[in-house]
Amino acid sequence: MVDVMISLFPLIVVAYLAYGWTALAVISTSITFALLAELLSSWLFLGRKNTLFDGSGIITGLLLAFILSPNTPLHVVAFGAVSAVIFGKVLWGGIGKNRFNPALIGREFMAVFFPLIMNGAALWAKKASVNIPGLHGFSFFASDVMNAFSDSLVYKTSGALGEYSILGIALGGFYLLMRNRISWHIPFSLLVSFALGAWLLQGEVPMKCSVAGILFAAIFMATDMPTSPVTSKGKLFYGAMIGVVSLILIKTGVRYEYMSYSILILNGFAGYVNNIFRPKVWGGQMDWMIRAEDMFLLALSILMVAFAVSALYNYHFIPYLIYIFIVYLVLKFIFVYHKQLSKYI
Amino acid sequence: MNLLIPSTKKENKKRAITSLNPLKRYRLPLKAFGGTLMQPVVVAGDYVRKNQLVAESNSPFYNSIHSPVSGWVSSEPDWDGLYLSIKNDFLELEEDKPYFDPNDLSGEELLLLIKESGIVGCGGAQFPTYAKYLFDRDRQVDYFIVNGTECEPYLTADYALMSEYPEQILGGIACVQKIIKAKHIVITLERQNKELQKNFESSSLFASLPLAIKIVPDNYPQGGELQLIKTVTGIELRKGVLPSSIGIVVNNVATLWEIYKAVYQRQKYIERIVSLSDKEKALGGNYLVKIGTPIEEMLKYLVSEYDDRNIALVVKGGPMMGTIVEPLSASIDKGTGGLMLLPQINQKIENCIGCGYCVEVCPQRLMPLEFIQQTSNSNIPHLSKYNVDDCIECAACEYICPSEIPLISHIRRGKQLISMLKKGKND
Repeated sequence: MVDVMISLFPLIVVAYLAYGWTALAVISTSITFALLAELLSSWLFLGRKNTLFDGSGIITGLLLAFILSPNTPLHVVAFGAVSAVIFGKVLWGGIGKNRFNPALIGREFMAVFFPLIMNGAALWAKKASVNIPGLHGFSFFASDVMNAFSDSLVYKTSGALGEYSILGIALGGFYLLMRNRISWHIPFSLLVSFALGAWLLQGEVPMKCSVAGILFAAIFMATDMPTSPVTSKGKLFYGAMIGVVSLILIKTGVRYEYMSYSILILNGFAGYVNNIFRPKVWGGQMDWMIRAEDMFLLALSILMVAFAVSALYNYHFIPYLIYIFIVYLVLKFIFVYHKQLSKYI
Repeated sequence: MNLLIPSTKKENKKRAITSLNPLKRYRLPLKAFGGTLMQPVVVAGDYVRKNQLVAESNSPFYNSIHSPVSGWVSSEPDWDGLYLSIKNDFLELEEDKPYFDPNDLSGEELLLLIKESGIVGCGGAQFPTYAKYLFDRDRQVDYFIVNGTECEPYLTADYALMSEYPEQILGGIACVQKIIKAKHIVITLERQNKELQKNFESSSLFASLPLAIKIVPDNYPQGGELQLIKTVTGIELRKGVLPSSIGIVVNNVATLWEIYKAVYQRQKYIERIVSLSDKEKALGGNYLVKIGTPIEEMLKYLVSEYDDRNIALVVKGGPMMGTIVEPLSASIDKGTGGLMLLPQINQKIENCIGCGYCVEVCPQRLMPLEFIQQTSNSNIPHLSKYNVDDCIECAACEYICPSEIPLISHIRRGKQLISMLKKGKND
């Protein structure tokens, strides 16, 4: 956990440079309410009082803050942090048992319960609160365009709180790789499949995507351990499918939430990926035909769900999906998870 | 195989083998390979001599155990037939040993001698060694692999043996070679022990056999039979398939030393090398101990202030695959390579976080985390599908698990469920 905090620290600094105290307010509100929610709900629902010490509450709070606009009202941020912890972790039975990325769950709850704020244009009109507008540090290249581009890789004040420095995100990612907290498979396959798909669909897709947003999600969100597959080949498939699903969502009009939705969709399929991509036992045989068929059918199911989610989005049915999710999880907790708290899987 | 464990053998490697003084009594374990108990052929009050047969069994293979000292068979304690106790008379009277010229023996006569000397695999499994050579003689053995890859941390018993008696090990190899006539003989050594290579190569016996030395990586568990076979021959053998069926024979170096002693010194398998590690005091040593040495007595003798220290855990074997024993009731058996004294372990089990480290380190390419859930639910089809029976119980997964989940207990339970089902079907 400490390693993840270290890897995110440069981004906190950059967020402050970009939007000053506004940024820090969002970050600290998110962390504080995540911790409070964890303390109270762990005690009330799980009967445990000392889960604060594993640091995962802080990480959830941080990651949630990094996918929000600095203009987000603090009471909405608090709501998001609390719902991320409760519906993203605690009601599943605690850390490790959750099937969906907590920070992304929190973000979706915010979008559903505060639609006017979260979907309004005002959220992203942040020029007024910019702290340091830009860096002009690069003079290495002869062309001004290249210099400006390099500057923007290091620092750019557009997007959510975690997106202001591609360099910062990349450094965080390398740190986690060195410390063996994440493996390269998911970010690699995600970026490659997204880039390849985007190149193939050139012109067909409004490609004003936030590279920083995609990179951030690839490194910090998609690699979340309990919600992603455990085998290397499974991870490659998983990352690649996230890339493909994102492109489908962009193409069908999901303009901003494509990364969140694609990761949440694939979270739901992680168990099936584990099953299909299980390694060949030592000295055993593997039936390639059956494996290939399973892979194909799984990919097909994922794509169909992607289109379904896109349709739900376009017909404004996503809130109902969240309401169903809430009822389902509460009932599941009361009748099943509550009785399995002592089990560790 | 991606697990590299700090070896912690440096100090113990330097310690020369010392013999344990004879003790007042010995408690010979009667459990044989396959879980059967050997039946005593003597009764309480009988006088036995050193090397005399005291118990044997026949299924699934012939197993025997011999007295390590001369003395009287004691009536107690025997803990429901698990042990046979012998009271030492300190006279070291030996059984009559009929003379034979070792070089005169044919392959089949050697095999019979190995069988009757009670020699079993010294690497831990205690498989009756003669049974490994029972295959069809028409079948060409391509590889005879000598397992000198003592891969568990702390253990240095095999190292000490290879350090001090390489000639005798080569003698044992020559005897087995007479039986199996392998095309290639490969002695395997871990990279961290490669200084042993010259011990073998400098011997005159070395040139007379089709011998090669292979230095293998320090990864755990490189010394597991299946993993070693792949490293030497490139063949990946499924667990449960006999290596002899594909022309491979694997023997531990200590087993070969016992074979040497049986042929050239006419000794039965009555003593072996055990390495001791005391983690707290960083003490250790390599000792020649008799089979059946009660562990409590051994520790009292070797560890100063043993009684005052109130050791938390005594482990028979290595830190990965060893078992925690009650010193008062356990004794050294033919598969014990090490004895460890450890401080209390505070195991705080957390939820499985799906990190997948266990999958990365499993040498059999299994998914240990899958077994936790399925064992709790007794989901037998799932356990079979994920091949729980292929687990060699090396505990690499348990070592690396950040949540400290007792994976081996779950795996053993899973195997038990499957075998109970099979037994139920057969009845």
